[in-house]
Amino acid sequence: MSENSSPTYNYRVVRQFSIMTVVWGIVGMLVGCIIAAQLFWPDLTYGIEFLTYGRLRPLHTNAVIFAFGGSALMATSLYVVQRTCQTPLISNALAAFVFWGWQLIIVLAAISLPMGWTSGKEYAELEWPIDILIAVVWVAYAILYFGTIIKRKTKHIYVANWFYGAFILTVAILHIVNSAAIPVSLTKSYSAYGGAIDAMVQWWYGHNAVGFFLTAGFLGMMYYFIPKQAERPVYSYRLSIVHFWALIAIYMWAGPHHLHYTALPSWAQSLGMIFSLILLAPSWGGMINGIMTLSGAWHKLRNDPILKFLIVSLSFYGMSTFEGPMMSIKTVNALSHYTDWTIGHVHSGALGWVAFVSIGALYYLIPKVFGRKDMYSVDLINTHFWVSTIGVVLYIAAMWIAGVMQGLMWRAVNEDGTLTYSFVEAVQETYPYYAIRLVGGILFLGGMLIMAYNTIKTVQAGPDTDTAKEG
Amino acid sequence: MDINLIRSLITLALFVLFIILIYQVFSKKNKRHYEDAANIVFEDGDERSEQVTPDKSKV
Repeated sequence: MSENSSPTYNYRVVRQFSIMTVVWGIVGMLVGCIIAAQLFWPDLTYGIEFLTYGRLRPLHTNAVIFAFGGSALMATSLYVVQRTCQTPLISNALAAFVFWGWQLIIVLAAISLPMGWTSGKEYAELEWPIDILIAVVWVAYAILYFGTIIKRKTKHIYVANWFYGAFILTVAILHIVNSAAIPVSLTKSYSAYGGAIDAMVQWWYGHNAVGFFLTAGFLGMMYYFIPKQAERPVYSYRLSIVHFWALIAIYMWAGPHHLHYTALPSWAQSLGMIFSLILLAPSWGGMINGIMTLSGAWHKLRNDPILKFLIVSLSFYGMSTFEGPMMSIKTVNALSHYTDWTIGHVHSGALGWVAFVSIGALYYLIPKVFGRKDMYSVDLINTHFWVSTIGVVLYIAAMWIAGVMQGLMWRAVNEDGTLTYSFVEAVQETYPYYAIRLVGGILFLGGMLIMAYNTIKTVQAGPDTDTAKEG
Repeated sequence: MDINLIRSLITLALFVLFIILIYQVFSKKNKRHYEDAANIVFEDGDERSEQVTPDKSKV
């Protein structure tokens, strides 16, 4: 048949990254549950240095953000760019390099962080040799992605690719600038910046890691997989373009809200606060655009658990993008900063938005790249949805209560000006909420295990009988 | 020229650009173009197959 000589999409790299998303999700969330348990039972790991909270915590954040989130972004972006440009990736060898390079980085992170080799910058803890490797793999990923867009067969570049493109480009810049360091040995380096400027560069990086890694990329996911799963075009394509430009222009300036009441100049703090407040507009514009895609077809939400994941992810996105600007207001921040409220906020975004939209997209994607229409069991997707929804709600509600309580206790003063509570009294009061949080986390991890089982069964079941044979 | 004046002008220019963008995107003339773009996701044939076979009927 002449069909056999026609070009084929590279599904291999998409399959690899999809499977690893599930694997790293389980690993990262398991480490999260361990450190949550350590807060409840401080002696849990018998003081073994490699398993202390301080070393496992960056392992947890790196694993869930860059291993789980990163693999999900690479799987979906490389799938979406091929399907919407109607052309295969420019190079299968480069795709393999990106996959294996990224896995090597994750393994190196999993070794070096428990060893205590860290640059001490939040979400950028990895030491300089790994940082260089990240930069190389990321540039390869960018060449692969933008190269494919350049040779597209469609006239227009679909909006999801704009968001993925902004994510790839910006993360490259953020990573290279923030990781600039002076090495003193193979495992130790010092930041190229000093003092308050170092702090500002770090949180310019840190907040845009949220804005571009954890938001723009996943919005790309939303703009492809919600229309696909709902079988109708996005509510307003024109709004999506305004959404894109407004979001990327404003996010860049919101970083200073991480440094309220520090040595950072006061005007910079206020600027960060104002931009964070403005950010509410594009964030909600995008959320409404995604949810309204279902307008006139709300009944689909009733019996389609994949759509439930996707639409509820947007509800959490709306919640946390309202909460975020509110917490950036200096007077609110005076209460919330350094408390568990921040942890609650982060997880409402990370579990409720990022993980939910990824899980929904993967339940759509995994069967397709294995030649099937649906997952092995749709009922199990529904179970996963409810287990993880209950998990997230328990988690964030516990952290909200704990955080506000801590903030109020820390600031309480007696009539003579002395502090009403010692620090450890606030820790003691937080105890029950740490237990609830642990339960929430274990439920979420349990959901991922259900997903792993469903995925294994789907792969084992093999392609549908009517699927066209690959060339 | 004073550096702060340049900074202010750049901010103003970006704002004007944004207004032009909104005008362009929502003008009636481009309505059809964006409707077509929104449908790109549905024009790529059977997703279970790795064959590159765009659905010619809708392009």
